[in-house]
Amino acid sequence: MASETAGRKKMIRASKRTGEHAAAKPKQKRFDTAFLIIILILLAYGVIMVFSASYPAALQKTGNSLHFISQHVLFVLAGIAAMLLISRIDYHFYRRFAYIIFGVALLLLILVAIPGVGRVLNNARRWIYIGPIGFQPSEIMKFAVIVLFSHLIAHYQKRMGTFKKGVLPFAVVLLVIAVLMMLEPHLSGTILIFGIGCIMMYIGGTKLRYFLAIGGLGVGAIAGIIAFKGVSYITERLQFWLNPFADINDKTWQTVQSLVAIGSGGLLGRGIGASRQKYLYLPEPYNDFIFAIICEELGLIGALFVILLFVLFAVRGFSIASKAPDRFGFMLATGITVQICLQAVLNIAVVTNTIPNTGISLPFFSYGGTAIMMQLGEMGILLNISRHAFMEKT
Amino acid sequence: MSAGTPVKMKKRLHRNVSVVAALLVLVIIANLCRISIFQYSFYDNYADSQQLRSETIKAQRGTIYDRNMEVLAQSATVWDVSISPKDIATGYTEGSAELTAKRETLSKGLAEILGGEYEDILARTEKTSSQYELVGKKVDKETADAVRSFITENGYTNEINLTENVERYYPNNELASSVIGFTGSDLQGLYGIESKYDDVLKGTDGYVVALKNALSENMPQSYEQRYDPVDGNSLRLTIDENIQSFVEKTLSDVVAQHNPAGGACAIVMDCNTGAVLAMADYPNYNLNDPFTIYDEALAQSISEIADETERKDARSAALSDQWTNKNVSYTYHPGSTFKTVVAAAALEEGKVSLSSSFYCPGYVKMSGYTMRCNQRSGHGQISFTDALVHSCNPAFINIGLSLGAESFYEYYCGFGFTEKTGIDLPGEQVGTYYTADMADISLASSSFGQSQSVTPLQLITAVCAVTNGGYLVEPYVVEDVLDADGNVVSSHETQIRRQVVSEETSATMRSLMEEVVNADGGTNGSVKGYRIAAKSGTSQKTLGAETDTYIASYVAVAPADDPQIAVYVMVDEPTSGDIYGGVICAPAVAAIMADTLPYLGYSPNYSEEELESMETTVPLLTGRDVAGAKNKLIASGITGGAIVKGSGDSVVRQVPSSGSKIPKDGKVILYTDDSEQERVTMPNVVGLTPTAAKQQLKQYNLNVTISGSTSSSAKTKVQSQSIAEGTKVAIGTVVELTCVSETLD
Repeated sequence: MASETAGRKKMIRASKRTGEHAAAKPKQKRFDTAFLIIILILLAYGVIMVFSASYPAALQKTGNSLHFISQHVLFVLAGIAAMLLISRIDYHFYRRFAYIIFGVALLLLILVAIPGVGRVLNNARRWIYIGPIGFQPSEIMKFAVIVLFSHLIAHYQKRMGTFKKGVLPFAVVLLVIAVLMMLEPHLSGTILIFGIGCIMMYIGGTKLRYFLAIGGLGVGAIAGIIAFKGVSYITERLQFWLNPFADINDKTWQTVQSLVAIGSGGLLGRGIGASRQKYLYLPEPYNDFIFAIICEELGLIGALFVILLFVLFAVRGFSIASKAPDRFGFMLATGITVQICLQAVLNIAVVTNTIPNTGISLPFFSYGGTAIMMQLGEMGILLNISRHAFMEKT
Repeated sequence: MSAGTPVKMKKRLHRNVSVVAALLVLVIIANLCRISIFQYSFYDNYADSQQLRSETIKAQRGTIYDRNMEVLAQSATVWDVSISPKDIATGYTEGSAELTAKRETLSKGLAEILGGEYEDILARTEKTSSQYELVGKKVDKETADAVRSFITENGYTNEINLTENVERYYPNNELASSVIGFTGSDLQGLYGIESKYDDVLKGTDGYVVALKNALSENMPQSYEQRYDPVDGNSLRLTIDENIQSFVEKTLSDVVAQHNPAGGACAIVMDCNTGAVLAMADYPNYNLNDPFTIYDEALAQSISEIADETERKDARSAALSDQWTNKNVSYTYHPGSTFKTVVAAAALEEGKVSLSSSFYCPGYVKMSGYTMRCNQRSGHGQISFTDALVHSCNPAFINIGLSLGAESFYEYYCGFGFTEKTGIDLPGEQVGTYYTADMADISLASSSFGQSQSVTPLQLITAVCAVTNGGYLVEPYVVEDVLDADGNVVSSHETQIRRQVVSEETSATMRSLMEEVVNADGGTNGSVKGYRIAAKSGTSQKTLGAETDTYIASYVAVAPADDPQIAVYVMVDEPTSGDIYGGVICAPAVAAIMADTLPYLGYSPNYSEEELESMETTVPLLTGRDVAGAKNKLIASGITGGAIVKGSGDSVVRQVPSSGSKIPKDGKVILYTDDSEQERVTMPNVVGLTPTAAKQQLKQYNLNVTISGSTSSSAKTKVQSQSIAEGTKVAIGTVVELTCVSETLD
């Protein structure tokens, strides 16, 4: 506790220097401004690109070229407000409700599977609508898993090395989620949650060899798909991935058009707003494939800048985690940062056809209503953790 | 609270996970670089190919004019009018009164503008699943404008569509079809001048490159690059529309008379420049609809072929035959017309002279073959001139043999028979021939034109060289190339390949060939008032065939003392009437000469004899007293006098009426009261000699005019009479007799 007192004193001094009313509000510490700036740059970049990428489709679908961007800006503004608000809520609050949050998320995931409640879009029942606003329970589940895993890892501590504590509870949770999500079906969401979960477990202390078992599960899953859909399905999928131009059909169209957008952008791009692929060639260019439009308009340079921003985000996010005062904070910050970065990596990998096509949106960029609010809410939590970092000088 | 996070966990995050993450990021960056740097050109091309719309702006194809700038072929813009029943019904309930009303308004409006059937268009508007119903094909600008304003008035932007097309139009239909040729669906030249000069005529298409979206709609972005089209050049041909018409009229008469199984063709050419003034070919076809077979009997027989493949083959063979220009593509044994070439060569080589004479027993036996003269009994002792005039084969076999194979072949080459004439028309052929090492029997049969094959154009070109001073010219049909503004880009210059024989030889040949025409006081090829030099030909198509089939031809130049115009007519396998060139083709050539020479400004120069037999115009005599009428007749140069019928003092009626043509020695019947016209029954005079016929008709008090051969020879016969036997005719009526002399060649 001594170190904590010292930290607080230092904090007060720091507050005095900046002229804050530290004495009046001792709990309100400065959050990581650099991290906020990175988030804001990502958001601003995203808003510009959503505007550019969405207006032809908006014009085509609704007759109003500002349809998507105006909604997007509203969600972003609401998200920023939520972020700032949440940054003031002590993150330990979530630990207390870890099981409740998970329970609610699980309930929503069950609800969405019920026809009539869950709404089908693009052949998958993934959305629940409350009035005009829709959200994906899987988005909430991501957060719920991060909170729950952070709690469990913080709770088990050294016992994470055992199978009973370090693998079994996590595996059960992930399997339940996987089963529910494959009902929708939602492969990309499942992969993402598995990815986040596994990385958190590994950092939390689960022995690496147990992941071999999970790898075995993956092989089993592939074997299952082969048994269910036949070898040709896999080879066809593989063919679509490795050589999308060989047979341009409904399944390869998006990949082809994405590659054409990226490739024709070249080094410097066609110029902001000058994408041609967004004119109904690339489906939903403002959503999962917005990165391709960035490449087309701003070239490799613009794309590398996006990657740089996410790298900076990761560096800063992990740094916040490291400065967290406790294991729960560390795992929570790590989990949230991993979630964003893993999603970004997978999205860019899909868009560049580095991995086979599966629907993953690009955080902060993709037009996505509640998803972007959810992400910004999580950023609020990270910012809150960063406030504690100053108190816990390590 | 357990203080902080264990170092181990942080290590796992910062070292292990971050390293893996960094590797992943590097893989992605590498892949990005691969796509946007190394594969840039592939994707950029791919993007262009799907995003850019290149719209062609068609260059206007050049016009083809005749030598007097009359249009022979022209491009015109036409429009197709279509309706989209689907768009008509969009926004309406099927069966609603509003939709019915709209369909009726639209159909009524279109039917009025296009002149189509209202019910038909209305029925088409009801095909709701269709987006394209053609209601007006190839309408002109005026109609298209009317449709356009109808669209604007009613707001039928999507309901009615106009598609612009460029069409090739030939205002004279069949005229000079085998020379002009036609174009395909993309206006690419397929035959004739259209094909040969396609590159000159077509110009260079322009295009507009614009951006389109995935629905192929133009994008709002103002990216547009425009490349203007360059219109094609126009051509001024050597063909004269009027001469071409004379020739085609004459040729169709010949074809109607003799039903040639293999068609017929004719050429009119400038002897000294090689400019083709007319070139006709039968069967011909309508250039605006080249895919119809115009030989009705042939079309009928093809349609009766049961097997589809066979029928198709027969159809394309017939079409190809119809489109082919026989004048340049068809090779045949020239027969006696070739004797002009042999005669010129022998004269030039000094092997014969005008004083040479030959003995003709009626045949020549060589190497077991017997070659007969057209006069089986033989000509006996015959002079060089008569050998040509009477087309004596044994004499020419002698001439050929005295010339020798080597020399014969040298002249054969010299006169251009072993090469293409070089005319600027597609499909030119060269026939077969014996070379310098030919056997005597081959040389013998070649000497009267029965062993080698030549094209009509090669023959007329060689005959031009024989008569024009010895110069072999290159025939041509395009005089000038004009740009889109009508400026001359390039003009043809006369190409003389070589001088084959001397001016002296050529002069001798001219007079010899004039003798051919003037023999016996005028053959079928003579033209009153003009000096013509010519030679006929009749050749067997295939030697030793079961039934003999013949090709008749005639080639002439005029004026005989200074040839300017050459005319050639060939009839392939005549099936009715005579078979001889001098009988079938000579009158046709004479008719073409008679039309063409005055048209080109050569005035006739009549001999006394010709003046004597000239016709004159009957003056107006009614109203005059009888004596006055008789005086008027004498003053008009009518020497035959008048026959007065009736009891009155002044002329009430006259036969023939004023303005009619009668011979100078004709009679005019004058009626002085209303008494009935005196009539006679027309006798048959066909087959009589012209003199006998004239004599007989004079006894009937009928006037006689004679056309065709004026020969006094007993072989000249009346071929037809203008008034049929047995017809009751008023005395004084003019009867036209067409005469032809039976000649052998």
